[in-house]
Amino acid sequence: MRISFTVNGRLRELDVRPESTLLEVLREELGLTGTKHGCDSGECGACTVLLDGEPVNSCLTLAPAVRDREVLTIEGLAEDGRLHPLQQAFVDHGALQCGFCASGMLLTAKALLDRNPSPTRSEVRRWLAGTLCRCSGYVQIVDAVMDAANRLKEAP
Amino acid sequence: MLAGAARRRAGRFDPSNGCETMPQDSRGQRGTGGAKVRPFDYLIPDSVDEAIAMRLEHGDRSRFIAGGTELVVLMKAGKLQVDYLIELSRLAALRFLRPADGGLCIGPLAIHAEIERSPLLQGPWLALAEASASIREQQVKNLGTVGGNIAFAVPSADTAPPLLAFDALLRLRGPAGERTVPISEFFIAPYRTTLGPAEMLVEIRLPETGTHFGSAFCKLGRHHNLGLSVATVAASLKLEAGEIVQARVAMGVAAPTPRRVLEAESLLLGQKPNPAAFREAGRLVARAAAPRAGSIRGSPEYKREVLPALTERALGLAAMRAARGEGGRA
Repeated sequence: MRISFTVNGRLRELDVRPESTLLEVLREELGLTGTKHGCDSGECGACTVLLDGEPVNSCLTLAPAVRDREVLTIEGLAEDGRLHPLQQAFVDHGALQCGFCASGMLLTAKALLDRNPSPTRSEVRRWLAGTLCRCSGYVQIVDAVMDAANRLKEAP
Repeated sequence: MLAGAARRRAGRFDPSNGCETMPQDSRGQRGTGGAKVRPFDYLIPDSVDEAIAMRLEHGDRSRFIAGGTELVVLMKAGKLQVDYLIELSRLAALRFLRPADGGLCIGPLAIHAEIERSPLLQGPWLALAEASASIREQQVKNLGTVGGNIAFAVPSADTAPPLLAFDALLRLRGPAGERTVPISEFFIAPYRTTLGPAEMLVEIRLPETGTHFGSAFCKLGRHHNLGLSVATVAASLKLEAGEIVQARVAMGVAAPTPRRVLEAESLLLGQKPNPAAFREAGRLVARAAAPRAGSIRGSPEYKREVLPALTERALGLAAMRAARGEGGRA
């Protein structure tokens, strides 16, 4: 079926199989492989994207369900070649090791900071609970989100 | 149509509510391309009645889909095959939260993230917000719906115990018209409800609570009480002159369906809230429990050990909230 939806600010119109997931469409049709294919069952959070600003598992979202909606993937987080403050904080704090969870971590953290610019550490941990890191980098990841929150508040 | 706290249950999905299944080993292989779902037609109704007509036409070859957090997983695992999926998630007529006659009307498509945050659910009906908050993670709470959680009827449906503790009324609409069913009569067996063919849950109504009404939801989960539930208890108490005049105690994941424990409720009537009574209520809840052996969630013995503690906690919180007079009209 034919659907149109916005990906990273750009309107896309394409034919999808109704049984395909948003994850498959992003990776295989649009070549946006920054969204990772992990458990494929809503457990690991590696496939997290923002749907109308809210984090969802793209592996659980059927493609037809996103018609006329807005999707933000990790490819759309940096603006004009400049890293988003969250991305820069992840780099500065060494919050990336293998990087497989990073897309999901960053997008979920963005949704949190959009909603609550001054979260506590425990709120950050709770929001990020749906995204699993197997390199055990949680401490640095939470540090990075807390630091990014400060940077975003100081930014003009 | 699904939300929920229990993805791995897929392995025990009961197909008896009219879904074709395939042998377990023939599908759901995870490869680099991911599990492929058998093709189906995706139907987009413009209204509730059109959705019901579609379901009537296609019968067991079709299913309603809302958040998809259960159905998509089942389909990927090859446990469920349909020829038609009928989309409900965009029917605005089913997505609302609004005060009505002192009570609250909840559209079945309200997602858990909305229920968790709604100011309408921070007072007497806090147990429901607590249950939705406990349902897995942000990514799932933004998809899963309360209606899906109830209608799919997994034994672990986290929103069921609070709705039982509120005497929720479920408005069902089908080809023959509407009927209203108390939630205590809704669940029949795991994955089975009183919903007839082509019937749809269209509204969850919480009756007026009166003042000095409090509720709480307590859950033992596997990871910081988030996600997969081992056992759950919801309680509500109504106080008059410091005495309990109405009590509800409901347990989840402790019997084939979520259900109230009437013995525990009647024990509390006429008493002032006190730890000994709550302890006795907890004992009665554990005695009423009929947990399934072989569950990945916890052994029956373990569940019977934790149910009294969950009950005491839920009753203690409900009593404290009721005494603060958080009840009243929405």
